[in-house]
Amino acid sequence: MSSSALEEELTTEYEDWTNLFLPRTAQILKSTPLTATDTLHRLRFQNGDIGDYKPGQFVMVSMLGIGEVPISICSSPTHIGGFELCVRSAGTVTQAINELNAGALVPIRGPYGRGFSTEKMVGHDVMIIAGGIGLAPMRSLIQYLLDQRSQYGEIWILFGAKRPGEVLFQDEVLSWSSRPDIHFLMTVDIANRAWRGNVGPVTSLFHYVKVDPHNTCAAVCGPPVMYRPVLRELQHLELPDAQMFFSFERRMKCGLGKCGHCLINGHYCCKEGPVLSYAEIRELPEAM
Amino acid sequence: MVEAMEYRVLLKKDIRVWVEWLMGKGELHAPVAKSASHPQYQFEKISQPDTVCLDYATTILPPKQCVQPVRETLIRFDRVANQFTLSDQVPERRLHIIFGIHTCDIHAFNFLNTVMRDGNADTQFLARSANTAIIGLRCRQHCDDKSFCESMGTNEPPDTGYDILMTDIGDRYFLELATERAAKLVDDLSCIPHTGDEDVVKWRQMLADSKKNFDRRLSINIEELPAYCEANYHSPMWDVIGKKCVACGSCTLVCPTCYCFDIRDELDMSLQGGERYRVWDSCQLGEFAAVAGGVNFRRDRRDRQRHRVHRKVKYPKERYNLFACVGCGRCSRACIADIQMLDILRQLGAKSHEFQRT
Repeated sequence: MSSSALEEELTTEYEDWTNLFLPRTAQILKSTPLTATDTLHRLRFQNGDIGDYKPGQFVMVSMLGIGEVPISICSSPTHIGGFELCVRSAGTVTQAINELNAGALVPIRGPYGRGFSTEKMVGHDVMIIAGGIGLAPMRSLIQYLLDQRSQYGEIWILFGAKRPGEVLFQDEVLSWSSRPDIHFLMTVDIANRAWRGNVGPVTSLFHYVKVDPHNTCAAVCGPPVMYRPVLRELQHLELPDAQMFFSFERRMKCGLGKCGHCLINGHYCCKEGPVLSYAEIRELPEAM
Repeated sequence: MVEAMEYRVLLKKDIRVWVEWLMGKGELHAPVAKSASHPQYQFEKISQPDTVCLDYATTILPPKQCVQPVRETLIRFDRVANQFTLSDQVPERRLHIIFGIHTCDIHAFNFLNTVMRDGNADTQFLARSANTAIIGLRCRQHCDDKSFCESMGTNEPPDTGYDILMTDIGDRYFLELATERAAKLVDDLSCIPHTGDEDVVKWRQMLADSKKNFDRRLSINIEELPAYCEANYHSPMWDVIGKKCVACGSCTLVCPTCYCFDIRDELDMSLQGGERYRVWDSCQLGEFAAVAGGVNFRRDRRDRQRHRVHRKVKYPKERYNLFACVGCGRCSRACIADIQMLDILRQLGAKSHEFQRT
């Protein structure tokens, strides 16, 4: 009697719940090498759409048997019919992804995290500061802003690359640079003979920037060493803390705010980030 | 104190009868002595009722494995050429019984449940936890000189999180039944009768006596610990601790509230199928916070030790209003470099006036 009584107590409640670690299947529509190490993949989920997401959000991409990696979505949610990921071959998983061609099926979880607060940017001037592969998530934001250009004020793009030949999305970057409604500034760390532009870190471009700080939002993404110098420049411009948005890179493993790898002090970068305003992180010594 | 639904008693000599009966109901884990000459204990799946040892100082490892196994399958996959199939891992439907768990470890379970329920619910954990019956034991003194449960308030049971609580009252155990399930765990076993008035009097006396046995080991206001952590963030105390630490990860391995995990893939021999699993990980290991490009966000042991302590007494307090340190002292016992949690917390309290918040 009692055995069955205890069995009746067993909960089955969670058995119908979604296994959050189970990816959906996406198909690569097109793979385009951008540089020696970076490839742009256009994908679409087989069953249904990726759903609503914000520029700055990321997905977990699987190579079964090798592992999973977090990759920012680099296309805008306003572009329908798929999404794009720019993958740099930096490890075993990313290398395997970049060996795939159109037609390949890829398990993907997400989108995860909190992206850029585009609502807050409406009616404001927007400064986009990107370094290297940090341009990938920023491309999503730039496309998003340009698709609704009239809702935003001045748009500044400050972009730093290591070398002139290592620029991602070259055609798009070229089109941004020639648009009259964008202030486009670019710099390289190491110039070649053909380079006529600015040489130096991305912070050296701030010299050319003129904004009304109270009406400006900044969005920053780049290598970790870039954050403190950029922050100093933005503070020098007197942007309010709540209008500076940084996209942080951390070792995200679960994407669900559980595994602990991505913590910035007590904040889960995967869940509460990866985009956080300076107002949210100024008390966090581990952020920058 | 929360009133139990019902009280029962159990003669010590009848423990084995109950244990054996419970073993027929589910997988029973209880403390056992590692060897007669060696006063160390561990939670084991019980197959011989006589091996259960309720008169034990805390176990080397906490019983968290029952709800968070060291290794756990998340999904299974099969791939052939460009095709693959993914299969879900349905939570197991099986009763686990944790028998004789100290109150500090019940507090730790409650913490883990809070974390796993927060935001994205971890269904495998929650299913296992919900199907785990907790038969706890009230402690009568600190386990040893490393314990400071009294200071963390965990020598007393939490309001919820257990089915039955046992108290040693001499020749018998006094049982507080706290849940519907508790009644089914004692059923109408003749060896577990209802209490007489004498038992209740004796039990209350025992509770009062036990209180006196616990000395205050941390003479700071623990509510201030988050502020103390903040004030001491740049304190040289972390350099001293970091220099001692050998980054072995033992402290997190034995911690009843540590839950960090890594996710890995493993292929079968066929190289076609395989599984993605999670496995316990430790923030004390060097690569825990490393990303591509040679960047490591907690490269120094000093930073990792500080992070561990903050994850025990600052971050969870701010997020859940709970401490993730229950004062069991396991990390201090396991540390081969003699890093002592009690010392660290005392230092935080003592030095807080030296490093003002900036």
